[in-house]
Amino acid sequence: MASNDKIGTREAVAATIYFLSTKLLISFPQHMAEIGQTAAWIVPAISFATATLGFLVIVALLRRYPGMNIVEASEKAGGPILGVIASLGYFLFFFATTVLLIREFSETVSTALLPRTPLSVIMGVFIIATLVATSMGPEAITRASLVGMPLIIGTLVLLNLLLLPQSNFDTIFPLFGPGIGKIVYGGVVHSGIAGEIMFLCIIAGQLDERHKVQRMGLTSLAVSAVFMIVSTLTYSAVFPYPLSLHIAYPGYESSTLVYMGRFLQRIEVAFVFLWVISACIHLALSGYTATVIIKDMLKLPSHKPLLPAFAILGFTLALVPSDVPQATYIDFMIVKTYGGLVLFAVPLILLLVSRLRGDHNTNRG
Amino acid sequence: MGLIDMLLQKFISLLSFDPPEDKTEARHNTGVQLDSAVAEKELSEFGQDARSAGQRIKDRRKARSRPSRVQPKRLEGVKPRSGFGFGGSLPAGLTRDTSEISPDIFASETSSEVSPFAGKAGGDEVKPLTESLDENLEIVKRLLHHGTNADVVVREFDIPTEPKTAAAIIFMEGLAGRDAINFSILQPLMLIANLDDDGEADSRLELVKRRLLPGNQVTESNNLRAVIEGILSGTTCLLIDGSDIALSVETRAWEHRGIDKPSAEMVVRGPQEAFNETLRSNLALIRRRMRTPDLITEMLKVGTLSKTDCAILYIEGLTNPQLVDEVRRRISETKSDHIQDTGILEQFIEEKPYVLAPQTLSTERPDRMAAFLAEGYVGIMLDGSPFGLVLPATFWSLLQSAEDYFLRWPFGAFLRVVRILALILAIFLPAIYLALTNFHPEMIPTDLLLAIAASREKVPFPTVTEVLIMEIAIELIREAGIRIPGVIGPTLGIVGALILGQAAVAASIVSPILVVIVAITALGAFAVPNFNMAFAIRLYRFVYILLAAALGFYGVAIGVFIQLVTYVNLKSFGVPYMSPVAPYTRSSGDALFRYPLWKSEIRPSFLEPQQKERQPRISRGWVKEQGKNNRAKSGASKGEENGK
Repeated sequence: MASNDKIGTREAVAATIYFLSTKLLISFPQHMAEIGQTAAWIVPAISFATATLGFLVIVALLRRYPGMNIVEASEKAGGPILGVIASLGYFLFFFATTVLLIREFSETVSTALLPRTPLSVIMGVFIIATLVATSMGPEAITRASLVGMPLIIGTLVLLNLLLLPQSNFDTIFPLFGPGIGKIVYGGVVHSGIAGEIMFLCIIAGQLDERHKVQRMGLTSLAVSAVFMIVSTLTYSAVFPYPLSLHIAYPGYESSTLVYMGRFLQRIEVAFVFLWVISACIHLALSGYTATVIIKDMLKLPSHKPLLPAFAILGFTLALVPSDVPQATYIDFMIVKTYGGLVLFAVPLILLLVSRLRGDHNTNRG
Repeated sequence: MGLIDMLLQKFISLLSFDPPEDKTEARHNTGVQLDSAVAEKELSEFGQDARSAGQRIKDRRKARSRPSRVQPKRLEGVKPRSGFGFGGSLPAGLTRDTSEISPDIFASETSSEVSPFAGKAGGDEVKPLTESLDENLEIVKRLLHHGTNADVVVREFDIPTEPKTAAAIIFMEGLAGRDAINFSILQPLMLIANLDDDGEADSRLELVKRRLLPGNQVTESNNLRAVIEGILSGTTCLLIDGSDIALSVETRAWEHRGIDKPSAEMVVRGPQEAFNETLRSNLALIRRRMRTPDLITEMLKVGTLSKTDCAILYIEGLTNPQLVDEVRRRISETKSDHIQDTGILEQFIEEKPYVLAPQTLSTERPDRMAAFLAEGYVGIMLDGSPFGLVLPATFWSLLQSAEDYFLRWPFGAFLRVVRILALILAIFLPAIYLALTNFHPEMIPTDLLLAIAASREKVPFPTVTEVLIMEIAIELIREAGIRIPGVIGPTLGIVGALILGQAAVAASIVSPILVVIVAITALGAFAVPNFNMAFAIRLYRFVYILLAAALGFYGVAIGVFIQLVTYVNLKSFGVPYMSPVAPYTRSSGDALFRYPLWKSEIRPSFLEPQQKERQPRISRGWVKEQGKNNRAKSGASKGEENGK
């Protein structure tokens, strides 16, 4: 019977794609436009390429310690102090991502679907739903991702196709926007936008085919990069620069433009319906990842007791930003900028330390 | 305080009251009285509370009854799998049938755990028989409450041996067949018997058994429990004076319903047979379709009072033994007094009782049961239940119908799509209507929006009230339609249609468009092939209506997400509920759609069957042959042309 509680390869890839791509639903394209102007679509390509290199470094570190996940491997490689600092860095990235997603997505729902409902109610329901999923463990969330995969693929493909009549691809010129140097710099610095790839290394111990973790990661990065690039390209074509800088909810605003005759129009609610499910999966994944890092750091037997505390903390912190622009600014200009440094540079340092010390785990995991 | 004590004593003595004519029971009665006397003495001597004395009496009673529970286990343990308490080999000519209808079922593991004796048997049921017919008869009569219980028939007679041998048969009126008893037991024993008796009781018994009992199944036993259980299941017990062994003759012939058409799983094309309430007929219907010696029917007993025969079906060498073990374990560990239907049994063996989703698949179709068994599933049949259980159940299997496979694959696949659509409509349509009209009217095309607004103009209720009124009305009609006597059944349709279709609209209680919505929703629910699943959908629908009323599409989406994670986390007998989609496992594409049968080469891998392949990769061997022939023909014609 297929009753083992390991995470299958397809499930893991689906979950990682969800994790990487769902930010398209919030203000991602707008921030890409801020960095790359008319060349906004090139920025995610560079960020994902940088993240791929970072991911390979993480996998190299992971391979030195078979049977361990990245938190345990970091502690083993860097010792108790450096290891804990590294894990704390990972935790902060995922926890901040969780908190900011709660706020940003709730604001999107408030604007698009429930303008008269208090924000705290929307956030509360959002958190409760993801708390249910997170308490069920990674198997449930990743399987839900696999079932929901056609949703996000279908939504993105359909939206991009339906927006073709409104698209003007002349707006992507000049091709390199502010200049190649600035684009490359912006892309590399914002490699944190693909930082969620570390999720695979955190659940490495639960993967059914752990030896395929590199292939899983590369597949997820490639698919997500295509989604990001195409969607940002469509956004740039629909909202030309500098208008693209002033769209608060790019995904939602884009979908409102869909017009396929008198009968098929104003279907943004249908998209938001699917995006809510995607956002729940994303939040469940990031919430689980944050709590499981703490669980591994503190050597706790289960992550479940942490969930209510983190839920309340997340709810409270999500209300701290004064408005959406502030929340998105913190997300993309701070978390996703320095996040890349933490997620990819720290493992590189740990890898070098490990190599210098000649330390590695000989047990095959 | 004293009054309470006195009442307590009285209550205890009442509990231990037995008919005075029963010697053994009278002995017990005396025992209890003695206990009471001791208690009173203790009370007077030590001045203790009467409640504690009463408790001591209860404890003693418990201690005395304990051996009667333990003893059967010991007996069964000494002579494992011997059926009627016989160890060793059976005498020649005696068949111990091990098929599904064998009396050997009484020796199943669970039978030692449960007792059919609800009242006080005084441990007699586990005593061995003696060589005295009178003694044996007396005990059997007492255990079966002969005299009080009108169903018990005891017929005493003499077998015309030299000297005459006293004998008696005991059977249950209505369970045992009259003809079988008259012509296969009484007639040969009373009229034909002319035995050379060598004086040995066992030898006499053997002669009776070999020469005078033409019944096709005769089983020996010297264990009273087995004898009584046999009588209660319809066999006839033959006791012979001088022999401490009883013969159980197969005479089961109770009245039962014939094989009928399926009532819940109808098909246009395919077999039109359904299970009935008789286990042996049901098992025969399955076995007729699975003519393999590897089809195993394991018999268990469920229910301490009902002692219902329960059959576990699987194919040896194909079905995952872990799955069989798990099914067997759960049934064996089920402790309840009365389990008379698979609908009750499934509630005892399902994994998560608080989840609405059905975790077992019930079917009334033998062809469907056989098909599932061939895929590596395990089946459960219960005597008295016209529905079998298939384990494990997956979400997708609950949306499948037998007809999917009897039709050509594009039609079968199309039906699956229609059913998925029906499922979505049945769950979400009222909620979507509510969310659209209450929260997101901008999504509705202007003309339609105006039509809806005009139709709702005179309706005084909010949309959610209107939806709930209609949904509850539909549920009432549905429930009334099942409970209503058949004669006035058609009236209900007229009443329902009038109330819902015209009167409610004319009275401005509901809008016409809502009638359409509710009608489509009901049709969607009816299109779901599994009855349990359709029930779950009905309840989910109300949850989604409330979510949509509170939070519009957001609420519905949150509900979908929670349902999704619940379903992917759910397991049925260790198998993930959403298999083979999540987690992904190899299959023949028989989940959401249906592939051509000749491409369905493997069995569902989530079951981990011992034989993974259902058929070879090229199952249509004639295609290969035809290809060869065509090539050979073209080669020959080319050769001829070259020759020319």
